[in-house]
Amino acid sequence: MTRLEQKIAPRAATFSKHGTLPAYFGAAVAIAIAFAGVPVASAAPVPEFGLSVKRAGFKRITIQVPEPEVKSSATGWRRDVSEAQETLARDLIYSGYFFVMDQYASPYLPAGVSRAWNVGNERPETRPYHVDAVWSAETGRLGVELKLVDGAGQQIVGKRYEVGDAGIRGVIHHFADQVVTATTGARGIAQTKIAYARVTGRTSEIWTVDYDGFGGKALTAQRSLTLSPCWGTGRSWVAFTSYVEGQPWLYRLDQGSRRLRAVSSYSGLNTTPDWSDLRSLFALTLTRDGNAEVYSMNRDGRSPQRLTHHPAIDTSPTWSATGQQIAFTSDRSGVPQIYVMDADGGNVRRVTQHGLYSDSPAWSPDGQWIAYVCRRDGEFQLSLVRPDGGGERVLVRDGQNDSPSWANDSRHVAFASRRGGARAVYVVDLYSGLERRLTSGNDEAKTPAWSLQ
Amino acid sequence: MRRMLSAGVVALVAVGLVAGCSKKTMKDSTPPPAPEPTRTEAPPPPPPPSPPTPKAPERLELNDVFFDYDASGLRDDARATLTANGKQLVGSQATATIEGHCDERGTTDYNLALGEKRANAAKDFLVSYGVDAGRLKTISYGENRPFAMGHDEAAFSQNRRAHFVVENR
Repeated sequence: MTRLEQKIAPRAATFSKHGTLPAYFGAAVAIAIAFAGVPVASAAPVPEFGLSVKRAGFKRITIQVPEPEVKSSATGWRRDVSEAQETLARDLIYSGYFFVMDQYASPYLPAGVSRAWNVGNERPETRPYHVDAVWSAETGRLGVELKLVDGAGQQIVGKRYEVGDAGIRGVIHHFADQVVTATTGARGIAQTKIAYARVTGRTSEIWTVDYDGFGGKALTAQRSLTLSPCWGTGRSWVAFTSYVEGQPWLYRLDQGSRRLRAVSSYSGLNTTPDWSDLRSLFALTLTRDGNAEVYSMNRDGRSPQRLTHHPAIDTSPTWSATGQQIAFTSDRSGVPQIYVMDADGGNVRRVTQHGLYSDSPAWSPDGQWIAYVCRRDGEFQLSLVRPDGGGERVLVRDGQNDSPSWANDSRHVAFASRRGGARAVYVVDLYSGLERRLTSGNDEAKTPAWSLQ
Repeated sequence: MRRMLSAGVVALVAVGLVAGCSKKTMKDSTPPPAPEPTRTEAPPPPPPPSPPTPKAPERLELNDVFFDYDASGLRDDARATLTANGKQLVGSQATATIEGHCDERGTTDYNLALGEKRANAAKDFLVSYGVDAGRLKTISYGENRPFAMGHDEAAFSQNRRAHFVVENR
């Protein structure tokens, strides 16, 4: 119940502590509504969500990450302390809510963060927030006391950590999420991970990477075509499609035991899994009946239930946060478009009306948006639409974009994008329109899935 | 350690074979959910099932069939190719796997379904022609196994295909 409430908490409540945010966000929504009636089939440009917010002068919270205090017992950990301070600054910037003040006030501004991501306000607060850090190792183990202090000198968050198994980065990510929630009411994303398929030659494996691009590692060693990961409850397992046994079957890999088992091995496709925690059900595509249809089944593949009944392609299901509805792609109109149905397959209605190709829907955790890709002007543009079909607009205009996946803050979206070279995974911030590349290297990276925790 | 691994590989292959055999029976009646080959993932993993390379194809030359963008309908040239393929298959004992492929445009998800549709379109034509359906298998690779590596229509048109892999018994 608590989880449900968290997931579907109304957006407005999230910003109640910062009066500036809802105003600008509201302006963007208003612009969008104004455009909602424009037929996009004509040459009329579809509004760009991020840009409209940027024009409105999106405001961030100013914060300092000053030089920390390092007790004599911890002087041997100087490098860890530096990494921690940089990680904190990066987390605050990547949350999208903060402007971390310049190098004088925040000497550990992280390298590699695009200048665009850390932009101050036209009229910055004269008394910004700051984070006090005291590092010590009296017990022989490194520990830190972290405090978020507001402009009036009042402590908002105070935490003491021992750097244990979670490591320096884990400790800092945890604290950063506390800071985000304490100042904005929103959920932080600093402890989340993104799974994706990384292609090498004729095979691909599932990799995971921290939300900030650090800590990338291979999760599977299938030595086969492996793709479309989806996270299970609390990151305890990852499901994916693999051709390791010759056919595209759905597997589940338990993170703890490293046990791999086939979940769905019907004839034909067993692809595009999406997991609903509330329902404890997969939605996925099977072609066992000779044609691509959407099914639901439980985590062991039992009780498969066919949800779509149409000779066209029905694929790419995505659960609503409440588990009451499923959005999916169907080409029953002649071209792929986004549809929504009830979780039992009833009450099918079309969501997207325009464009020649709309696919790869992803329902936001707050239930407000469906992200999808739409072919316009020869590009596959990352787009947003309200579940009722209103408010359609472009989020990422250029490139061949695919496979959006939401962060739990309903603000950031990971997606695959080909821009010249090999496809890579990027992250975009809905409010600023800013993007950053998440995966590095020349290997193709695709089908990202953002963990909810 | 190595012996244990190779034993694991043998076991896995055996599971794969059993699963593969049981598939025919799964097709009709609502099947129990999947044979569940469970194993612990241990790096290094088992080698991939080697791509089905025909050892001594009985001189069948089954040509690829090509499709239009975002389409699984058979063009005239596709029907001609399939007729020629069908003629050879009818006169042989070989089984064939029809691989459905797509170009890189479009989404990974949708292309898997489209590739399946293409493979099935080719299979349906051959069955109508008189090839025993039991000798034709289908698999979709979507956009994941391009034939031509370019990013232009010249490459795309070669990648939107149904490809035949002959297996002799």
